[in-house]
Amino acid sequence: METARRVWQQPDVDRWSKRRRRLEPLWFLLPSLTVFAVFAIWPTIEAVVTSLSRYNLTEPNARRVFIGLENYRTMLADPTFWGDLVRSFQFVIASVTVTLLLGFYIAYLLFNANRGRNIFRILFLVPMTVSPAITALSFKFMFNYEFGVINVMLDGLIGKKLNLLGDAGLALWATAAIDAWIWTPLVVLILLSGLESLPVEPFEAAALDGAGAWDMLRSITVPLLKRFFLIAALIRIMDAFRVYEIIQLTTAGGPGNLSETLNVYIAKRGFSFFEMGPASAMAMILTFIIVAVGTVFVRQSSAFEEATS
Amino acid sequence: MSARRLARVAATAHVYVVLTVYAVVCLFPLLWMLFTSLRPDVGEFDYDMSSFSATLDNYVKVLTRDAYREFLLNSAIISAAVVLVTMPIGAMAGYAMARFKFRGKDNLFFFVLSTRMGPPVAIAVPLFMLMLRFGLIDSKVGMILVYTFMNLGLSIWMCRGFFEELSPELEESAMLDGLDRWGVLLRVAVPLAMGGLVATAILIFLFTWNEYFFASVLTRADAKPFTVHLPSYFGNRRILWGPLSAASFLGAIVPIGLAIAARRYLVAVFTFGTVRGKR
Repeated sequence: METARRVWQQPDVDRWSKRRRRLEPLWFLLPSLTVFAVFAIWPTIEAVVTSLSRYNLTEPNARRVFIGLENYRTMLADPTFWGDLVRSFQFVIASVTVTLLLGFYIAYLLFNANRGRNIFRILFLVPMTVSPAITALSFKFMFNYEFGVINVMLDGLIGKKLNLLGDAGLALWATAAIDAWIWTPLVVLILLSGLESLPVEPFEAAALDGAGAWDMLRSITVPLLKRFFLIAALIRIMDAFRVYEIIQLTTAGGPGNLSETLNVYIAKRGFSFFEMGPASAMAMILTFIIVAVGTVFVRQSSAFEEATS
Repeated sequence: MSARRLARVAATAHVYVVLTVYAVVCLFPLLWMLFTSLRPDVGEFDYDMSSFSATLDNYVKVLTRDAYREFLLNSAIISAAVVLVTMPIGAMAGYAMARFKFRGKDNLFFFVLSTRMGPPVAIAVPLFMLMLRFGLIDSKVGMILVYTFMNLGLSIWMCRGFFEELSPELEESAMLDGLDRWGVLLRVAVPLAMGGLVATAILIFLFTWNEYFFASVLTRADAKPFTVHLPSYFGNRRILWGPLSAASFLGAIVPIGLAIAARRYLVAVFTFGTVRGKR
């Protein structure tokens, strides 16, 4: 492998001058770098500048005026910002906890299903495959208080209907449940990959020692799957902070703003009220939270790459 | 039956009963959508099944009397174009990452990943202003550019992984036969990694097809994809449940079919290659 690599690093010195060879990767990277420069770096700089400016698109001849940290100060004094930030965390914690627990349960059962595993695996793909916009609207229809099929079932089962998307105490949790419904299958597939990759030796040894299924699950399976749980959790946390359609198209943040998360509020301030400054300031704060989580993810995945290469 | 045998039967029953129930939960909204879309649209939704007779009226309605066909077509055009732009430039960059040594590679690597981490809403404001300035609001070209950026990181990341899995020997001997790096990429590396590349392309099509947020902000009519049109069937006072279900079902079957085709790589794509599904 090492010699192969060395040969690879020095092709035809006659034809390729050293300089050209050094520039070669650049030609392969140039189109991508251009796209990133225009759509990532430039907008990020713009977003930072806008977050430090007064810029209201509804005003005639709107111009950007630099006002320092004013937007941040305004947002940090805005009770809606704090309420929505708390709700974001509630949404994330509820959705991620349910997806991880239910996902592990289903993955474990699937691992023990020798027949039909592939068919189940295909059926479970459906929720995460369909557009969240479609999912949001079909749940809004099924959750409908008067004639939604879920409420008809609830009526039959517990003798009472629930205004899942309209009740102040339920709306946020109902939207988190939709999010969990979409993403539990991803956790199932991640953990199933983990289960399928486990070595058999520890289990054989434990079986010889007379360990039961529950003991093995608790003291061998779960610890060995730690990396997979971590990856699943981090991906789910980052995604759950960004949820938009599931809330916007079901409750639109209501009743009042009791199911509104920070992400939804930013979009509202930016694209309904056209207050680009405060929206950008909040977007910076949300980005910071997600990037903090994401950094853990990158560390974890690169640690894994080193461990396996 | 011995107690041990009974326990084993109970365990098997537990597995299959729960998995079946969960499969029903996963499929129920889609089946309910299909069922609703086939009912005659007679105003208020009810559970009176005596009048039930399957009809394609709702599909005919959304596809002919409404402009839904155009919105589906917009989605298809934009998604296909995004794949055609993203995959070649992503493959080039991914190949460079897999096979060249250059300064700042690791930083570029994490930068690529970070482009997918940020919340879309954070760059939506500047993108909106950028598109406004260049007259790209409500244009397909504008949407293709935005989605190209959104999926490029994923494309690069996945391509790099697939190219790294190939053994360098084949590429070396191709170079000794006189191919340059471009020739090696096109004639050796791409054909060998084809399975993974096609799956990545399919999933990028799927992500673009399903996207709602950017489209809702950046399109009005000409470039409007179906996802942005759907909520218009769900009025505050009146829910057009027949057309809504028919339109939703049409929008749902495409990605389901694509995901099944690319299922072997699905987990890898969703986890940025950190978890590999069974191939």
